Amino acid sequence: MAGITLQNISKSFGATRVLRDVDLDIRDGEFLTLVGPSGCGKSTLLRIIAGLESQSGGHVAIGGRAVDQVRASERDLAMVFQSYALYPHLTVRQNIETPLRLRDLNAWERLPLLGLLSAGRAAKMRRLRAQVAETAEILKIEELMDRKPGQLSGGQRQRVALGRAMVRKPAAFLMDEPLSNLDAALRVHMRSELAELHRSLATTFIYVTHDQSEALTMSDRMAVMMGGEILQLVTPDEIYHDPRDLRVAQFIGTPQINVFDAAISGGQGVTVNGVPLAAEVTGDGDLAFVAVRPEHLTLLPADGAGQPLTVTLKENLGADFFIHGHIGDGAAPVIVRATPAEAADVAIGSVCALAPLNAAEVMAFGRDHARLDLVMTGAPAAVLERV
Amino acid sequence: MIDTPRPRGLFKTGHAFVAPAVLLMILILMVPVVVAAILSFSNYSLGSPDFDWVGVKNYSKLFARSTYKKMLTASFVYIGVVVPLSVFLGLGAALLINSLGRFGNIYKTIYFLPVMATLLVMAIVWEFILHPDVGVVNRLLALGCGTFAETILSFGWLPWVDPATTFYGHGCAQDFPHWLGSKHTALGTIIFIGVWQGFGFNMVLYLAGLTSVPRELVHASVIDGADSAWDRFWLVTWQMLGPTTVFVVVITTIRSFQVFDTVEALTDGGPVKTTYVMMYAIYEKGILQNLIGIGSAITIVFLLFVLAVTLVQRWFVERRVHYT
Repeated sequence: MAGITLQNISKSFGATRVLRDVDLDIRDGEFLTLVGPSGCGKSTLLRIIAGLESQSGGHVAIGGRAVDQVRASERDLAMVFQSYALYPHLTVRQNIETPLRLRDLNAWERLPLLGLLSAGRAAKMRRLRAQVAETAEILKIEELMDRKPGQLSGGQRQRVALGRAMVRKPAAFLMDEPLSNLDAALRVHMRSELAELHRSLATTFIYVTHDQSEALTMSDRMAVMMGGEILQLVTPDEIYHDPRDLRVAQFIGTPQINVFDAAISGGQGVTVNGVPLAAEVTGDGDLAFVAVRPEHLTLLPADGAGQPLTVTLKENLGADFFIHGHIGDGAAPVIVRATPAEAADVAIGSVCALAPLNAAEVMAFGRDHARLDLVMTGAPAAVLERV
Repeated sequence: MIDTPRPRGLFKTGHAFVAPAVLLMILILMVPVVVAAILSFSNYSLGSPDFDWVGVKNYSKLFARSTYKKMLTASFVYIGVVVPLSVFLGLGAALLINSLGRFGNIYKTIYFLPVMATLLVMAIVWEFILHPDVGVVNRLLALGCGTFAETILSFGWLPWVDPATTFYGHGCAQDFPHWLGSKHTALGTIIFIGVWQGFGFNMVLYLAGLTSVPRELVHASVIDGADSAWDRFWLVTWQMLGPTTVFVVVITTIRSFQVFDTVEALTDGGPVKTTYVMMYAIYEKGILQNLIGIGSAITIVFLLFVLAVTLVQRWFVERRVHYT
């Protein structure tokens, strides 16, 4: 078990800068997720921690020990790959045994046949077999031990890959999109199982994914990466409710957060799409956007006092409906969450009204995407009766 | 299978569609083999009006006469040396080229050149190179005689070696070998040319195989503690190349069985039948001497060997080297 510290990590492939001075402090025993769109550098960062790739600049320390010059196998980390990367010619048992054999047996003892002659080998192998059996029991894969990876389902391979990582009790687990090859139902199931495993092992997990739901459900903290930088590193709750960057707000949350053009008029007063908002921007900052989550928008009947919204699509998710539409002449697309009762009266092509924004629930962002603080002026917008 | 009633017409149409292919296959592939098999029990020769059935006499000759024993020895020694050497050299070259960034393509081209060149033309070039008097090889070797090179290469500096008895010492004192003309060196020389010509092809096959080794698997082995290149090769690369290796070995074996051009151009099966390989024997008996019966018998034995190799390959393919 160990914390991991990254200092000013940068990485370039030729002229392309993949990572730009990343600083990251991962606490001992933490489940930290690196999430971001593909190409944001999250997998490269993970491989640098693992030692599979060397950084162009900066330092990595594991458990307080600088490991910049330490090879991958000696960093005491385990990794689970997207493709599971099981050895196809070996049985499940041999696959799980491999890291132990490579570590605990010397080259002589690993030789086929001749190795059997060496003195301490039998005792070592007994110890090693016991560890493998223990791991198999935890993961409930005992009945698969003599099969080859080709005979296993995706979920079973996933477990074997976990077993191979767990068996030598590493200081930290690195996981590179381990669930992305599973079908949707299994992915949700494995999510809870991974979280459970993390609790019982109490070891540091670094988890890379592009799937925000995996990041939100499992992590203690999550780092949103884009363009080779960490934009924000906080708890999932904070990321969702208090994003410090417009790109974070847009990446996290399904459906995507609504973004409106905003401007300052008359001192510090904020107008959104030309409609004044009962709030002011504090401090400096070139206000450009205001963002509102779909669940914070309210639909009114067509004759209600609000901006007209032309409905283009109704998405039925069972418990909720998402109403897609646009304000005015197709300018700003808007998504509103509605209850089935609210959505019942909304027809595609009809015009509803969008209730005035509640200043307490909007987030303001500058032209450079940075979050700006808002203070409310006067009473928040009246709570309007729902349709 | 569920018995579904099928219109008669459809059945006929289907047969009509496969008929040309089946017919061609029978005419071009099956009939010649069957004819050869039948002729191998006769003493037929092309152009003669009549012939007799001789039973298995041709085959018993094959296994009794010393000429044919020499033929089998030459063929199997050739295969036994050329296959492992050209497979391992091909693998080695492929691994080295694969680890190169910049000059890989140059080496690829150089090693592949002998494969692309016509072997018959190359054989003539080799004939000049290996000529006992004017050949580059022996001229070069003779240059070193009387200099420090002779001292080193004749191993006279080792206390237990008599320099006159070693290859180089003997060569300087008397003559360097007549590479293609001596019964001691002829087969070895043919083998050398076979390896030189063939390993580039295996290298290309291995290079293709290497592209299918998943990078994540190599990374997994690194994380698991496979520190040395040998560990990684043994745990991942070699295993992933299994299907390629089976294919390469089979192809090389069959090509080695079929070696002909170098023998025909350089040695004509001699001296004293030391390079009398099967393909050359078929050519000599069946074509040059018009002994169709014995030629056919050798052909059938030849086909049986190739068939055996193919069956072994099938067994490997099904049993061991495919993982999914």
